[in-house]
Amino acid sequence: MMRRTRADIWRRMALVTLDSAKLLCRGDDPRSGISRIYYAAYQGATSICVAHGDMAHFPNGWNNPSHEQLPDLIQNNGDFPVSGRRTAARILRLLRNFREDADYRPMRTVDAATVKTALLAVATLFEVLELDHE
Amino acid sequence: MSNVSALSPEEVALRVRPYFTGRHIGDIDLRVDDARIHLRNGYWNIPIRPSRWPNPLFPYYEALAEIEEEIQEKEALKVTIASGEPVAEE
Repeated sequence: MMRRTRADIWRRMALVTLDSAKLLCRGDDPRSGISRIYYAAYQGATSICVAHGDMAHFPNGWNNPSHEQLPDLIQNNGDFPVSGRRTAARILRLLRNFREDADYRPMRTVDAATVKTALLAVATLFEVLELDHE
Repeated sequence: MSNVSALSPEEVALRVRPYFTGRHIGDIDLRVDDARIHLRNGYWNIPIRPSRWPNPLFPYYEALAEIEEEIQEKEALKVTIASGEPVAEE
């Protein structure tokens, strides 16, 4: 499959995931909403890596980057300005922590403020990586 | 970046500990959980334990992201910081 086509599939998947995340956040399941927000960011950032030709850097036999390496791949992606890359990498780290809290740490509060921060962060990521543009 | 698998968890602990010792995020102290440092997908996973639950979360995780970047740049070491349960929960 062509690199651009594969990247576009990841990008479209990210947009759908983000819509689902917003629905969950508006309902009574903020933990699942936070989890899907992270995966929308992961899928969106992955589309950027695929378009950039980073698949060779993905773990052996994987079609996707590891969660650990994704911020570094974005930070080293010369298709975007340095400040945007840095912001996006930091957001990926932030949202990953939010997701781990939401999914694995029942004692950690996941409240409206957390949801608001996560939604703002993912919107910023989509903006700096130009993911919501056709 | 260093050849990550050539290091032992103990060596990694020695190199990353100074970035947490005496460092505060607000009034939260950070402690590296040395015994649980491990290599995963080519990155050293550095579990840390805060002195209490962070609230709000954003500045806490923002600060951890900064520390992670600092370690990667200055130590040329691929790391990912994982915040665990507070020490006070023991």
